Amino acid sequence: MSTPSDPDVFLALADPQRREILRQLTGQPASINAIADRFPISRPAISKHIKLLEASGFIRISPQGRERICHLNAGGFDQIRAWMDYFEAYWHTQFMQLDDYLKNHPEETK
Amino acid sequence: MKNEIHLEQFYPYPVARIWECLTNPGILREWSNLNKTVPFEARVGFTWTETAKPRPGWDGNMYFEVLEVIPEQKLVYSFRGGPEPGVLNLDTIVIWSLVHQEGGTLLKLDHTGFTGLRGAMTSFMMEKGWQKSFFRRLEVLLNQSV
Repeated sequence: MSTPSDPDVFLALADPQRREILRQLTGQPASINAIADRFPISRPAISKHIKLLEASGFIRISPQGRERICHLNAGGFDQIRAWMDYFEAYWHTQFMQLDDYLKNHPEETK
Repeated sequence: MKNEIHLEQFYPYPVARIWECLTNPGILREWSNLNKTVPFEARVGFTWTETAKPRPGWDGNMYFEVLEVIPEQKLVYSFRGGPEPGVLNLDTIVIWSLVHQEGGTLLKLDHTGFTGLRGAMTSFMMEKGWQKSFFRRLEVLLNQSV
């Protein structure tokens, strides 16, 4: 399994074919060959999608005999979650700062 | 999976006071991380930018535009950002709501639209017929990975 090199999870999800690949993997893992057979696009194009999904942490690939099997992976989804956590913390800080401000300036109430 | 943020807090001050805190540029400067660059204006179409600490995939630039103003009730602005200037794949909405309650104001914040690339995440989540099984499976997966 490669280390994620491209952290842009949103970019990974932007493409409908990549979303479709993920959708198919929610049922069960599938080999790259099996995935490619289901899409009317070239093998290199599929490989590119799969590479990007792997790099952004949405799938991992394990060898099985001569096949390479794609599995859904939590990493990409964790990154989206991390974004949410970041902004939640950001706004929480704003609430606390407003609280502090009001406590220190109660006299300015209109 | 959560795709929006909701926070709320009660402040023992009238809505007029809280509204002032959210919209008066001088007061905003005193408490808020926002509205440091130009004096805030509570009018639809007002735009401003802020800079925060960059994260992977985000250069830290925050682009805001006021979308809706209902005095002492609601303030809505868009918040956009991206990996580099000119690329905005984070396209979200920030909604402040003020609700009068006995003895003060309930201030609510909704930060929604974490869709990336103009709806990619939304469409990813909303495509019909499979999202339920997907998110059930995803939850299992996420629990396993902890």
